[in-house]
Amino acid sequence: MEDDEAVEVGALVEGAIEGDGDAWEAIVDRYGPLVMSVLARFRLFGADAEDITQLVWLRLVEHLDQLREPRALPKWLIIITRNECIGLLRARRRSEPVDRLDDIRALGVDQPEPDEELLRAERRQAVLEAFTDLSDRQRALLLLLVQDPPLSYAVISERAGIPIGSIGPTRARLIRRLRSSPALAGLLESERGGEEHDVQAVAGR
Amino acid sequence: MTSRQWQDDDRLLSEMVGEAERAALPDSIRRAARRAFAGRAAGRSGVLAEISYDSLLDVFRVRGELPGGGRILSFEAGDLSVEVEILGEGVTGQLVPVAAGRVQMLTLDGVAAETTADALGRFVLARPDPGPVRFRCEVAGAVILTDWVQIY
Repeated sequence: MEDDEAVEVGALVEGAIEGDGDAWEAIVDRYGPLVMSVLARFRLFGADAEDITQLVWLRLVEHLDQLREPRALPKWLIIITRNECIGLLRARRRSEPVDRLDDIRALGVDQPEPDEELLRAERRQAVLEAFTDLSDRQRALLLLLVQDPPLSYAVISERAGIPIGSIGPTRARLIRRLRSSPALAGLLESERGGEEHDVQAVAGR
Repeated sequence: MTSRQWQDDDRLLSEMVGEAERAALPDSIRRAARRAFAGRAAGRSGVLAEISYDSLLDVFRVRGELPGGGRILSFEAGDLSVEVEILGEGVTGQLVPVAAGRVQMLTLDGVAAETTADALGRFVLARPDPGPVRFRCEVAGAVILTDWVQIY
């Protein structure tokens, strides 16, 4: 987390403690996706996800005072959300005569440590910021480019309203732009650094 | 799922779109957040007693199960604590310090039930409907508000 981001989050938390509804909404916008991502890993959606997020927000409101250290906030959210997911799945299994294999899997695996989850959250934030920087037209093209199964350039051309011949170059420009966006550039840089370290580590053996 | 996959253009693009889609928070979740914040303004007068034990999350208890499928919760605020057992159709509780007091069970709609704790700090309430619940306890001159817990 960058220092200025930490300051910003700190200010939002202070604001919410003072009763500023906008600051609270900004916290929800920022960390809601993090809460949702934990729910998704437990494969909890719909009404279950609503119940759990409701409780997470209720708890958060009461604990804002303790979360002035901004780094503490996402970690705290991850832990609370995870606990509630486990609680819900356990409570449900009690009332069902037969264990659900899915629930057991959800309890036993796929639970990264909070630090790992934090890294993911930062990466997610960087990706989202880069996406936000794109123009509407670029975003529309991007959505067409990542369809699975892939769309033909003819279809993309028609839907995006650009000539087939310029899809490739536009895509390349898009990628250059994303890679050079401040949010992503920092992370890509540290990745390359990480790779060099890996190489050195191997060479040193 | 290493970040090195970002060196691959297609992955970069699709990850970005995926994140953007996931980032769209459902309205219901925003509404829940607003409700939670509004509740804060309402009844914030008391010491917060944080949850310190929940049998449902206890890994040493097989499936968090108590005899009869009950659930035990503990909340603590310094020397003050509230022990609650939810079993069958009832909720039984214990205030510490051990003394007579008043106990309210709160839901998002307000006070769902209230009762007195006897001279030994014991109290009994009806089991609440599923949903978020917290307890407000007046004992020994203090007001304790517990963390919210989800009742299943």
